[in-house]
Amino acid sequence: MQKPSILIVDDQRDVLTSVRKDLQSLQDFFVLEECESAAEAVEILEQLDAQGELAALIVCDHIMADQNGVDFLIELNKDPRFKSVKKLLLTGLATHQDAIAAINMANIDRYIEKPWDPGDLLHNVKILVTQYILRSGVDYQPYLPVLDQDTVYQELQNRT
Amino acid sequence: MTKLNQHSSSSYPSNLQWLVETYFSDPQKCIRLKPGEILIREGELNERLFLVLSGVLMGYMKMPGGGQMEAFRVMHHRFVGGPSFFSKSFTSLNTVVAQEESVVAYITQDQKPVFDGVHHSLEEQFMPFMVAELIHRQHRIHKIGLEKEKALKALLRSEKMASLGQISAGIAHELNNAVAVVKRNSDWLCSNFARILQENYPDQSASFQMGMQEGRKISSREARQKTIDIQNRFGVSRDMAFKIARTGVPDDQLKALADADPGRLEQLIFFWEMGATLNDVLVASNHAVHVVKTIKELGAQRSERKPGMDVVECLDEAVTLLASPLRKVTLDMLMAPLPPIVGNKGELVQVFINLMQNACECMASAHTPNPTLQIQSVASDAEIIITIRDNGPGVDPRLLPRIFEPAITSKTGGRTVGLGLGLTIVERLVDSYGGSIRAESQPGDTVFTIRIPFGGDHAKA
Repeated sequence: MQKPSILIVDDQRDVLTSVRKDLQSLQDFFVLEECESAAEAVEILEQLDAQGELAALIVCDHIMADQNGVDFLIELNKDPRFKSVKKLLLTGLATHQDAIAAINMANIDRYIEKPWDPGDLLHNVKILVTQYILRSGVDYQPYLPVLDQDTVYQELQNRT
Repeated sequence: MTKLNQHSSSSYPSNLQWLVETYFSDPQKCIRLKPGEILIREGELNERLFLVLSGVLMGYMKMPGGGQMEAFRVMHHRFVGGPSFFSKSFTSLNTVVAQEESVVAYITQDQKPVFDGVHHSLEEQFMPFMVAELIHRQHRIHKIGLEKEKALKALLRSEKMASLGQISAGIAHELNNAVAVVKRNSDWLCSNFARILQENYPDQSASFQMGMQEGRKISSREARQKTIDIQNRFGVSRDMAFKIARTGVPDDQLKALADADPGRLEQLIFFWEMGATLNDVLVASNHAVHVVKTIKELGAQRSERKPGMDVVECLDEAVTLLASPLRKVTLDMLMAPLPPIVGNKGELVQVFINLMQNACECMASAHTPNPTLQIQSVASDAEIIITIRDNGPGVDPRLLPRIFEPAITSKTGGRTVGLGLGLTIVERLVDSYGGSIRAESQPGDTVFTIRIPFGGDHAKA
């Protein structure tokens, strides 16, 4: 079984670590990659792509010093190689306008406000990686312990 | 006749004397008014043109919706009733009231014109004085309007500030209480955890202490670079190797632990993480305290300002207070003595500290070689000019035009340094001194220039 990556992007180290801790239970099935900027996340995505490895999800902070999360995800969405990567925006500054721009242009799958509830974050992350695994064509059976059951059921129904 | 010709050939203002003598010197056509006495009433019949001989009169205009507005104020040798007299409406446009004991002379609508050598009609003879009178009144109304607008703006600002001050004081109280609990309790956890660790896992105590004291100093990029090396040396998983690299625990310490028992490395991550997490809590609490303080300052009412403030002294005090960050930079002070201004020391010191601290932080985080901070003071005819210059990396040109806006902030070392309100507060303070602040920046040369006018009380309400 290969371990697809989950990229966590936040320019604040304490926040980055907190997110990682909340996703710790996925670590036997996914590689949790910490990135402190959008540029670093791009580097890792390129690396994964070059090595033929999978990136399942990006959990991205909104307001960052260099490039903000929405702009980064919009840019990423233009690259056909990373279109299928699931995108979750984590934001402390949720304005209506930003949310609309993000969802429409970057094809963001989930939008979660800071401070987040750890159970809620994990649940949403599980839904997204489940969708990713079931749509990527890899065998989903080995991942079942961490997949979201309702989503698995829905995805399988959609197949038929 | 020669006398008359002389009058008419000279410029108009000298004609006033002739007009006064010719038309307004009949003692029968003079009115003496007591203070408060009404000369004419708005909307009522008035067939006379008045000239003020002494005293002061005020003209008022009814406001739509009640009340009255000041329209003009006239004294010696100014005219009243001109518009109704010459427009032939003979209806008074204003109510005119004597402010003090006053004397006015008048002519009536049937006044025959006296030939002045050039002009035959009253209209021609009086025209320049009527125009002057109207311009006078228009200027006054304009001035009143401007003053009202200014007062209104100041009122709005002070109301906004007052409510922001009240709200922030409330927030500060509640938040500071909450933060105090977080801080005190994490201190307690730190010391007790440290003690338990010392007793039960003495060889892990150092890693806990390191996490707690130094925090997360290794970037994700640095940690990733070291990961493979650690993986190979200690035969641990990639995930664990990354976490070990993130701690920044020195190699010899890692080796000592691994040699004793390979399981110790996993323990190390846990104990270091415990320390780093407590450090996060403390740093975040301090950040919260700082944010509350900044909001409070932003909403604070202005402190008392006194004349005789020496700005050079304020600069010296700021330098003294910033002794520790300034130790790492070369300080170049080019101070010319400055004329005193009306000011508050605390406010001025705050402005300078803010700018100097920004400069020091920028140079420190960019590891600028030979970091230099230059502070210069000069006085021009009307202003004192302070420049604060550093040779740091400079401000992003995209950010520069918006640098004084709130929430424009830069972050260093994976941590937020402020609320992004420092420069907003600086600008607001300088503005309240009637001064200005400008930022110019290119890599290696960033200058903030503050100009404050001196002389007179320029402090705004």
